[in-house]
Amino acid sequence: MLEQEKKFINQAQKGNKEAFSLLYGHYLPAIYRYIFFKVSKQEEAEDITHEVFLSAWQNMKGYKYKGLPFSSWLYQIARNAVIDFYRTSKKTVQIEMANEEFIKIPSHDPEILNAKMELEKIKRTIALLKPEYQNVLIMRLIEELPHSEIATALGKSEGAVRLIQHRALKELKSLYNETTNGKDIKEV
Amino acid sequence: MEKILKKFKTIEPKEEFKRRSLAIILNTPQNEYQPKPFEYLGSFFNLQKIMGLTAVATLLIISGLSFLNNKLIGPSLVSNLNQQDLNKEMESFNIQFSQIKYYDDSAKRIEVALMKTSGESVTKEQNEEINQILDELTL
Repeated sequence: MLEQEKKFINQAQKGNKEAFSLLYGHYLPAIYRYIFFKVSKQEEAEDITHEVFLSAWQNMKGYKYKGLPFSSWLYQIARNAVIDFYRTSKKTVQIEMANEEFIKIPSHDPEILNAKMELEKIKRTIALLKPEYQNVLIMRLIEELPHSEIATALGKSEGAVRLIQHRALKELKSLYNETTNGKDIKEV
Repeated sequence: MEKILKKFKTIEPKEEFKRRSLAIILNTPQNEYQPKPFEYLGSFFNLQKIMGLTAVATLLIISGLSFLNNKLIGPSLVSNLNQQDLNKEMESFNIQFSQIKYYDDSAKRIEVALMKTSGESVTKEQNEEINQILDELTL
């Protein structure tokens, strides 16, 4: 943990809004992406992300540094928030195209447009994976978090995270190849 | 695949959402921290302390047992017990040896006496000797 971050956390725990704003600005995109991949809809992702940071702010005094990064704590809150979301709303994962506003790639270039479509296809495929696989893929391959941090956030050992990553990637490739070979992705 | 996945890092929430959400959050009061039951107990008895206490307890038990061992069945007592046992055993050996010697001598003398009485005339000295042997045997 960076000393600077530690300082901001201490200040935010004392109610310093500016310090929390800095933490919010730093971690918001990653937490938002994580939730976005889990729920797919922009509005839902925004609502849950808001709930996560609200909960973090309200419970800042309860956060204790025990060798775990602050982001692991936020991911734990986010994970629970997503679980609660599905438990209370009884919703299933919706397969829908990512909102164009999310993927900030100019769409006038045909090459980039193809890349964008590719991304959307992968996003759909990720949604078909088990939640555990999704978590590890998002955290590891998109956010590039270290295994130790993912292990802490998910309450698993580093070895288990590596294994899940391997299996998730294998399954993702397999599902992706199925869709590119003309098979439709089944809705979950 | 991994390279494609990394491109998802471009996904970001809208600026409007960021501002609105943060404003709402910061206008919400923070909760007062309430420790969970036994939390202090849990933090007091963390793994390192448990291990330390276990080590001390083990040391105390071992030293206590060692002290008792020295006190109750220490080397001096053990040596005394051994000495007593040895003395007893020695006494019994002595008794056995004297008995063996006695029976051995008696047998030889009886044999001599019987041989003399069976064929040959017995002198006064021999007669006394026979009487003496018989007395010893009857006693």
